[in-house]
Amino acid sequence: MAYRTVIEAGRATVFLDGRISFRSYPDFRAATLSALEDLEVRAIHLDMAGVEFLDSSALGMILHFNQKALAAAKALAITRPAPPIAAILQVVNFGKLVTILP
Amino acid sequence: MPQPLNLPRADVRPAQTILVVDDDPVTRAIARKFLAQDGYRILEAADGETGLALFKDQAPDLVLTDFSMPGMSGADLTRAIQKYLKEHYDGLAVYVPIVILTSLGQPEILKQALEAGAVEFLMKPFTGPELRTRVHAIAQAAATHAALLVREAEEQDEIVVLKLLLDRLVEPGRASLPEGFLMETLATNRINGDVCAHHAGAPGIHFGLLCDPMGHGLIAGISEIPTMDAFNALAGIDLPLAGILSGINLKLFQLLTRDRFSCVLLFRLDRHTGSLSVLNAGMPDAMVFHRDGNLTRFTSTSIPLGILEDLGSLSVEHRHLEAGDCLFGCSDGLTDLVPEPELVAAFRTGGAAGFPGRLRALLDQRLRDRELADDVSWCLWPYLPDALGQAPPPGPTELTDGSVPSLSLRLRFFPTAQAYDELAPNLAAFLASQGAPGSVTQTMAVVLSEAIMNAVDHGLLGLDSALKTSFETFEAERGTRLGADPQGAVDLLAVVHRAAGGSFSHVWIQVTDPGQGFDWRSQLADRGDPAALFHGRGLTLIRALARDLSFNDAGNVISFSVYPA
Repeated sequence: MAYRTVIEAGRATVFLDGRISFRSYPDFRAATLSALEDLEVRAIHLDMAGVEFLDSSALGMILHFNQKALAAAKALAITRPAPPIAAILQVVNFGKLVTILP
Repeated sequence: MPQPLNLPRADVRPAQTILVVDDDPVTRAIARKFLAQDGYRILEAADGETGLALFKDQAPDLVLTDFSMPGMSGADLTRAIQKYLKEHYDGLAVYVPIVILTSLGQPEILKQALEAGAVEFLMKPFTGPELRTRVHAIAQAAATHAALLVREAEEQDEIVVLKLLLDRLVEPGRASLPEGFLMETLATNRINGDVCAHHAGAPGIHFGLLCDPMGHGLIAGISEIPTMDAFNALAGIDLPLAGILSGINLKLFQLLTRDRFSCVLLFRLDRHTGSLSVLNAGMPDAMVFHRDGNLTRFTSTSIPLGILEDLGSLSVEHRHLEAGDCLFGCSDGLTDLVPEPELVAAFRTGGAAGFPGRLRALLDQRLRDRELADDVSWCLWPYLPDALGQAPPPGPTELTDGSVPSLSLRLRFFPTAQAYDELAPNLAAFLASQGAPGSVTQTMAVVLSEAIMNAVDHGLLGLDSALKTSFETFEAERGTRLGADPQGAVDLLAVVHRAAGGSFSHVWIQVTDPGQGFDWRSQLADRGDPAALFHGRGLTLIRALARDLSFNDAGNVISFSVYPA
């Protein structure tokens, strides 16, 4: 998994690329750390336009991150998932826990 | 505490200390004077009781004792010494010759002394030189005898170690022998080297090996180690029988001397399909006892192993078994005792259920009045597809959509963190390359990944749902256990099906782990609560993206199909 984090105007956008699996956790944590710790950031977007693969472990990782974001009073959203990824998110009713934006 | 005996043990040396027990001081003086000239240390006792105490305390190498003494007689002393040796040194290579000194030549006395455990007599009176000569001869004979005892003890130790090594190689396979599959060996006291081995391959695949090396003893047993090693390794990768046999042959050729060889019967049974393959190299005919009474033979088609470097073209015989057919194989140790016509008759009379009992009874009968001269090995593998306990892959007749299997792929997966992550997408890409539309690739990668992850977590790493209270705890634990070189493997069976016109239909996948399974019913039961998404997401994904999801009862075998969207 590759990542790039951009913070501007109180919103952090984490661009994720490639495969997200259980092995991605260290990278994912690094990618989201600055967004989580920045007091100015009120919203965090996980941009998944470049994500090719997402497994159930990655879903758990995002849920875990969502709990941390909520505790820090930040709103998490998943943005621009490609159709196969959107299908996976839909299958597990992920939209009930995290905002998903097209 | 018994004193360590001064006897020859691993190093054989002549007697050094001699105990002389006699109430006659003249006899003791002669012994002291003349035997000391030869460098012996002499211990003296005037009666049996003192002699026994000295024996226990000083552990002499040889005992000379008078027969008629006040109190304990020479025969009594001999018995007491033998009893003491048996109690304290039984099973060890110790030997203390006891010589009776007597002026009484009656046969009854000689008999008593011999029965008590004496080895020799010396008639009184004797001269000093005569005593020296006799003791020298007895000491030499004792040294030779002790050397033999040492050699026997060493050989026994070697046999014990060898049997332990062979057990380690054979036992794992034997322990995984499916219910109803019989493999028995009746071994002689010495090692004759027969080995009856089983190796469980991918689910439903079973390899069998009967091996009878030339000769007996250590060298026969030693040749079994490379045989078993190669068999386990090569069957473990599901190599064709010819490859396994060639591999064993090459090992034996490289390791054994040219005058040594092994006869081998090798077979592979697929319990899903009833497909049997047999390769016989020098063993008695293997047979399939068909349920309808017919018989199929598998005669030897190869020379025994270890003689030539290259076995040339090997003829593997393939048969399709019907339910109730039984494969039977044995070593010549069995056919020497129970000729083949009697074996066939025993099966025809008793059937698969009664045959083992009849065979054992025949063996008991034949061995009633003779000793087992050669190891006896035999196996009986019934083909009972109903007893599989796990779902067989859908064959063409079971499919309702008219599709037929066009490619079957078996994989055995030994997980590492990297392989864990990469297997699913690579396998999905390969399966999809069999003509599947693009949408199948991604779906298949996800469901394969989830099924493999589930199998590894539950079956190999022992991670249960109780650990899923915290994402970080669970992932940390998974990382730790994956990094600790987990033992075991996950087996995958993938079957690509094509529609009647040849186009891609779907892929059927079965994943089996060696664990105890898990409570899949409760995990599948209720997915309505979003909070429950923290658990069971993998199964939810498989259920949503695949079709025909099923588990065996325990939960360590999962199967499903992936169709184009």
